[in-house]
Amino acid sequence: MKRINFRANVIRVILLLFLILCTVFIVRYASLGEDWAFYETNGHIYTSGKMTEVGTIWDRDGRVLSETKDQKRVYNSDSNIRRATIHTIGDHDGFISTGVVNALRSKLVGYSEINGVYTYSGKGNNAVLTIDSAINVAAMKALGNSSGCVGVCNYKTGEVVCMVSTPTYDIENVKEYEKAKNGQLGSVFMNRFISSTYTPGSTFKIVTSAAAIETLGDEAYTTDFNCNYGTVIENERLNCLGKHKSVTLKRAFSHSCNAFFSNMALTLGKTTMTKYAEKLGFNDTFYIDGIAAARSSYSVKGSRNIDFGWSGIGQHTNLMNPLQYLCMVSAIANGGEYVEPYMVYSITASNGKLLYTASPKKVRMLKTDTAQRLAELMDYAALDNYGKATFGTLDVCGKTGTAEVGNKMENSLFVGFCKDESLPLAFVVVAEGNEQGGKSAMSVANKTLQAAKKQLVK
Amino acid sequence: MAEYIRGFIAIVRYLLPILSVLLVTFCGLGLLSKKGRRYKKVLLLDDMSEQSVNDGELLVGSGDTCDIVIDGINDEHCVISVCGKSFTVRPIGKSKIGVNKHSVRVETAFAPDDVISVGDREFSLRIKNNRKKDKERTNLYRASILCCLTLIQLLVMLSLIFAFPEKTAAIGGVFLGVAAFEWVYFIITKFKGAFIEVPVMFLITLGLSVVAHKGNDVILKQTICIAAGLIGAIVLSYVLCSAKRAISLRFIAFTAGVALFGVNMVFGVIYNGAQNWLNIAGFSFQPSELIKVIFVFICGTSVEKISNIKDSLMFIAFAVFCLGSLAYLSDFGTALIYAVVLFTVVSIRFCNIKLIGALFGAALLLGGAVILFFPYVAKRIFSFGQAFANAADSGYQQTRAMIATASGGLFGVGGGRGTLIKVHAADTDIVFGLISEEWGLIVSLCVLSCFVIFTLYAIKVLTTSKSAYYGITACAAAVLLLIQTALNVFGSLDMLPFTGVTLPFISNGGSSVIACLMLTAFLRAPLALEHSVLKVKGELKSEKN
Repeated sequence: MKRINFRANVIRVILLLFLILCTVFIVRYASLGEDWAFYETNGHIYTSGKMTEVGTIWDRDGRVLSETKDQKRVYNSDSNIRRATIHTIGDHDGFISTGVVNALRSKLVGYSEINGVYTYSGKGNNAVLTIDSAINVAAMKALGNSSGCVGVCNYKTGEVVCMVSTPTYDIENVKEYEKAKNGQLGSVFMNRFISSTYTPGSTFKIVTSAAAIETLGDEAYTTDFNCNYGTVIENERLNCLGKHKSVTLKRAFSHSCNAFFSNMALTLGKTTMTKYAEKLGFNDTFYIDGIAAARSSYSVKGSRNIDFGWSGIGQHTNLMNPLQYLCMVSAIANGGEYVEPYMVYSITASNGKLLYTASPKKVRMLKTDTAQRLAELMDYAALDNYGKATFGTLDVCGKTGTAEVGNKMENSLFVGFCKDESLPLAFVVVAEGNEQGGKSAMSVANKTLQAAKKQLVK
Repeated sequence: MAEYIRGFIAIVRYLLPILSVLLVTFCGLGLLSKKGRRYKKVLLLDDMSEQSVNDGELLVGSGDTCDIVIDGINDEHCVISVCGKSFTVRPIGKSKIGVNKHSVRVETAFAPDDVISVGDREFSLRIKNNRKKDKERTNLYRASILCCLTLIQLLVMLSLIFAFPEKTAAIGGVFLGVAAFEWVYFIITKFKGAFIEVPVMFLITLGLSVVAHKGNDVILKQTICIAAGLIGAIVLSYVLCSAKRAISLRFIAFTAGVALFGVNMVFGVIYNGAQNWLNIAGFSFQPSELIKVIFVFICGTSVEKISNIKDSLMFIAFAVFCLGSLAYLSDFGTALIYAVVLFTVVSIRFCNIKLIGALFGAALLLGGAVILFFPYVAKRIFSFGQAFANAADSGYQQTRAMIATASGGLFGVGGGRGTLIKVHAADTDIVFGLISEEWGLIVSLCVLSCFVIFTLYAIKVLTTSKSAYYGITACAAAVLLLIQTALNVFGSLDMLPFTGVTLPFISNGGSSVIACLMLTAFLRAPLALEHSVLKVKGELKSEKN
């Protein structure tokens, strides 16, 4: 019997192999199940390759942005609304991967590892978004034929009320959609607000200012620098748009003096600059509703002093991400703390049962004092340079930026926030330059904010 | 009405996994738990030392691997078989043994306290009352498992009727018929084989749920085959009850097996690359499925006793013939199953590292040759693990099976509501995906657990039964089912090459279900034996009397 017992080990080994395979399968199921379920041939979710098991998606005003009718995905009847919201809601073919229906497909289809694709009603779940399609349309029209993006959020609650990316397309215009798919319209399937990075240009002076204020204290405000159409670092010239003469932080910020800020960066040193860039979100990935944005970057390791000087004014290899910047300006407007931006307000099952509501976290980015001082600088910039009247009755604080992108084309950036208690909005606008010169980000921001005021202040 | 059906599905999708887990757990406990013995058996040596003894074949000798080590005799001196209260002793080779001072040369029965002399030593077996209470599972326990099964069948039936209202009569008739049969059968057999038969009928039920997607003619055909398989299993159980009776039939089985393969090779029809189909009078069947039963039968009957070699050659000859025939028919999936069973049986039977190594080497060489000479097999083998990269061609079925598995989640989307059925071979090669999609992962894991329990039970039989005959047949049958399950399930999930073998009891296919049901007889035989021995009271019984 001893011997038979030993010989039975052959079967035990076979059994063990079987159990190992079972375990591997369970692990694969748990880790890859969602990918399997959302493979485009799954008849539970897709009808001839199009995701149809998603319910209705509304904007904050209760307008239907997209819904499933007779096994077909249909969108808002207004072509402008379709164009202005497609990047946020996402398309049924899955080209816009950061769109809500694609990035949050599990929540919207009702898929989970536990229940598979089963839902009690057999229908997909509905979602209410925080965006307002009218503000989106205004922002899209303001961008006109410029590529770029606009992101606006309530810095007290984190609700994103506007998110637009251009160029865009009309998903229900068959010819245009075909062109988009063939790549004839450029990179229309990318939501630039989430997936792009841009050279920050002068908007980066916010970061340099933050480093100066926290490192040098009051001295940051008294240190002056003599600007003569720029400065010379290591025998190489760094140009300024004007002859700012003797400037201190406040005026250097409002008039965007390159000479002052590049020298300030050199004074502070690479370690301090990197520390503050990272504090304000550089070299980090930001998320909106769990969707990862493109990673911004700030790296001056091993760079020459002249390049480091350029990086202090947002050139060199610096890259910002619009979502990251929206968090940054929200923190400045909100006393150093930003509320994580989100665009899905709630998800409900087709029978009305509430499945999900956004519960954004607060994240501290800056000291309250520093945030207030930066807010004052941005306030002064609007007062001293841009002119508060530009924004009508709105009390807007901000910082502009331009970034050369070759071929004499410049990207125009404007980031900032509204001080009004009734309209606590932070915004990031990028208008890419094109052969026609492109739009001014500030005018885009203004038109968007005016639309927001009309929509939100009632 | 639609709202009620929706509610019903919402409840069933939780109820069915719970019942399945209960069923599998109770059957597993019933089969595998160690029962408190009514008697304790001890071996009394002439130097007054005691050694407690369990049921099974015990090797007596001075060698290290012996169960009973007695100094001063041969390394392997004799074999004592203990089964309940019946004992036999058999000398190995020309060892000298005696029972009550009479020298014996063949297997001889003896009673407690009889004196067995080995060489110049003596010992006897004594039965002591065991204080521990016997934990024999009651019929109530067994009946409750059957209730569980019946409930599962009713829930599955209703789910399917709601999904296919036009087939109400066929589905209702089949499921109620099967449930009624089970109750009659179990009451007649006094629930003896319940722990094997209930899981089997659970698998058959899931198989019927797959067939329900097809037309009434397919449902009827499969039901007839299940009935035939059940009758075959009952007949085979009767044959297996007595080892003598079984052995007397093995030449007939041998001839039948050779003849079936012969007919297959001459008249076989090629389907899906393998020439393993036979069409007779409008019915098509796969001889290689039925030969599995003969294969296990011959393997059991030719290796009846340990330390008795001459019959084994017959088994090996038959096995080699089977493998050759399957290779000729290009049915490599089935050949692989036969090869693993052969390997297992030879390992248990001979326990010779060199022989096992040689077999392994031969298998590798053969495998290499197959890959070299049969491109369609090679294509299937090399596409495994990358199904999604070849989702349009060689990975088509596997990706659909994985998608379906993920869609079902833990509790399934509801009977008859699967989408996988539209894919080719959804009721056979990738049926695991359909089961997971409709009934959920928990139920599918219960399916896999059934085969694990059968194998664990076979190991238990092998290590505790009196005769190697029961142990080895049970192991051969269990390993066959396990390997076939692994090839089907993990092949369809892209974790093993996709061989196209059936999932035992579940895949739609007459020959397969008949063969699998008959194989359960090999698992059930020792259970019936165990049961009957426990009933023996007072008087001794042994084969030789």
